[in-house]
Amino acid sequence: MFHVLLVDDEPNILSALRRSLAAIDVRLLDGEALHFEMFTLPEAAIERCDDQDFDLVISDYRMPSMNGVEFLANVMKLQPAVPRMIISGYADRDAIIAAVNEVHLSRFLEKPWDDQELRDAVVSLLGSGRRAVRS
Amino acid sequence: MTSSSQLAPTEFSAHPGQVLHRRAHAFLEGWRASQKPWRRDRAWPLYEELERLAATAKDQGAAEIAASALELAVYLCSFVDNDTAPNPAQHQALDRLVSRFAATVDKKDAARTQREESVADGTRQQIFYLCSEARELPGLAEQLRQQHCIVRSFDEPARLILALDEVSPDALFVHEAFVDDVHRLVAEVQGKRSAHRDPTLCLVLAEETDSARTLFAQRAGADAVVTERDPIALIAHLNKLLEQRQSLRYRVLIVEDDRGQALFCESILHHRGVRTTVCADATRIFEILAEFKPDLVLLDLYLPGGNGIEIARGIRERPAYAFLPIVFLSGEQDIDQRFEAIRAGADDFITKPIKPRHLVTTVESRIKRSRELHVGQSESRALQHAYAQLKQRVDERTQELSARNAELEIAYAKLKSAQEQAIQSEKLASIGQLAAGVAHEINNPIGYVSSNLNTLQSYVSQLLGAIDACAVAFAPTNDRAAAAVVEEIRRRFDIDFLAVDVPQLLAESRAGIDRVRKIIRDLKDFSRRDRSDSWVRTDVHAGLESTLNIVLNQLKYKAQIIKTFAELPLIECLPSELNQVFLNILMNAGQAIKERGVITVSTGRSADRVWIAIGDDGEGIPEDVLPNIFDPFFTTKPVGTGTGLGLSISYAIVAKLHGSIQVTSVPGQGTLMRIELPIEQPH
Repeated sequence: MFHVLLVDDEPNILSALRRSLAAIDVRLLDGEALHFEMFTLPEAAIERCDDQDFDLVISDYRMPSMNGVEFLANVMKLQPAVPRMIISGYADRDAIIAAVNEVHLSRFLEKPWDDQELRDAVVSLLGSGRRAVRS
Repeated sequence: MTSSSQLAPTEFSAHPGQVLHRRAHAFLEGWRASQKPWRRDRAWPLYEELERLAATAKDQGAAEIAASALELAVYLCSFVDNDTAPNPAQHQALDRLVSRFAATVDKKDAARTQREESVADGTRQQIFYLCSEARELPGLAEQLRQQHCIVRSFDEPARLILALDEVSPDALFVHEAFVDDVHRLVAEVQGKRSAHRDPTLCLVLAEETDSARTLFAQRAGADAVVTERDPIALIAHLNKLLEQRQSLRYRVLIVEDDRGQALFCESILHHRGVRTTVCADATRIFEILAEFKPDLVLLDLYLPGGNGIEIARGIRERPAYAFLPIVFLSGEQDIDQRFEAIRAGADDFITKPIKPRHLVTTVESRIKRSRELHVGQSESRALQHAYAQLKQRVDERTQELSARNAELEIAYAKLKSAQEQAIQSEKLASIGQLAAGVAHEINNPIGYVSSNLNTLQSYVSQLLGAIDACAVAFAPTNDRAAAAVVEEIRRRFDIDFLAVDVPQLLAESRAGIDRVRKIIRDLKDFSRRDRSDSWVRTDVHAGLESTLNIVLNQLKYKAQIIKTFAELPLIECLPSELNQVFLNILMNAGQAIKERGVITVSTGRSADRVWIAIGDDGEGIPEDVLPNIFDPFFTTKPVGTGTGLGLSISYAIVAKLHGSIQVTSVPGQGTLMRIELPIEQPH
């Protein structure tokens, strides 16, 4: 079972992401199922990180209370090894550079995303995370 | 002084007045020694010295000596020139003249000391002040002395008249109490004053200068009535009158080869205070005219250097002398010549032998009339001149101002265009920010809609798969009723149609979402300002495509867009700015097309440059407007539809990219804008 944390201030995005990722063939994930936890408030998500280890964190960039980089920086303090990914419609070059540098971002996807590209990225990150844990 | 040095070389240091007297005495001694028998070689230097004496005396203001010397010289001249010895009667006449000259010299000797003061200093005015002691104006004499006047006060007319034997005053100040004596005093003063000197001024000092007093005083012979209250004003008045008098001095040029005749004329005229110069050599006449500036020319009809008539004609031909009075001296019998002379421009004739009164009257009246004319003319000429000058200055000023205005207008236009460009780029920058924000907001819903459509597609195919599977599942049972039910359900819910149409619907929806995505991306691309204005290797075609996508919604209803792209290398440029150029030109192309038309976008490469040509088949640009289209604020669009900046900004951008824009346009047929850009920027 892979625990995936999804954070976006827009619930429809969360649902769509969940649907899209749920369609991943479990065989690609060594038969492990995906379990999603979704938050529209980054603060709530950080709180949840105290109790639950995640295999992947996917966040929006532009959110009302804090931006994606700030959120991921907080997550990193609690769970440094978890792969981090931003999906944003706000294609500010400086924001992307900051994200990659500050929170060692694994992936950056633009909205609207390509479902296949998203699924491939998730599969790859979960696989590498697993290998990292195993080694 | 050169002449005096011949006889008295050691007397330079002496007083000029004394020198004159010594020379006069020397002459008299020489004369007495040289007479009897008459010898021309002795008479000649004496005659020459006499002429010089007359000139010197004249210069020094010793008028009586000058007049008497001249008189003698005139008489002597006829004998010297013709080398004829005077007969006894003529000798007697000569002796009389000589002794009269001697008497003049001696008499003047006595008065000399006093006289010299005014002679030595030309600015010193002799003033006689007639006033009873009680009424004397305090401070007047002192004030006048400070003004370099020599003042003598008298308290009764008889004493003043007595003093006239010593000195002839330049001005009389008479208190109004003596106004009844003015007539007598003026007559006495003039009677004793040598003719060549300016007449004495007579001023009546009165308490009030009302017209009754003025009239009365002037009838008595006074020149003016002045108020006695203010010495300064009085002196100012006097100086004004003296200046006026000065300007009245007449100048006459005598063109005459006969020395005797010339001297005779001079002596007559000198008695009237007229200044003269003799020109014996007709070839030098213009030189002397320019130098002496005479008021009148006395011209002998017969001259050795040229006929007098020809000289008159020559004078008249010169604009400067067009109004100079010319009076001919001619013999009684020269009637025909006179008409000829009138044609040549002569004003009058004096018949020889010359009668003094005729000469004086003619000269004075001619000069007076000519001066009156001249004053009028010079006034109007001065006015014309002033007007012309004023006009010129106004013109110059106007020109200056309009030049300044033009400069300011240009500066203003530049400033305004800079400001507008700043506003424009500010606007674009904020549009960029706005677009980025909007893009995010739009990208969120598009993100889930497009993702959901994918999911839906797989859900639908699952559903359809399930229905198909049901049908397949029922098939082997050969349960006809069940199969019928399935068939019925499929028909009722139009499953077969849905199976075909849903994927199509989803595909179409996806396509729509893709288009929105693309528009958002282009908007973001376009509005993104390269912050550092950094030069990047840019794909011109990508820029054209993204710009076309933005304007397509405006253009697609009226224009078909035909793209002909060649293979282009990446060029070094500022992509967002270049896109702005494309946008401006494409928008203009679209606006040029009224209803429906074609916009062509083609590219190509020539050597180290690429070109982009954007053409339309719209209304074209009128020839007279064509040179202005890159000017800031030039627009042919209705108010509110264009700022008139689009093309000027485009021009500025292309210039910044070291490229060029060319326009060819045929009214009614369309316009082609061709942009050329270097592949590599010059470094």
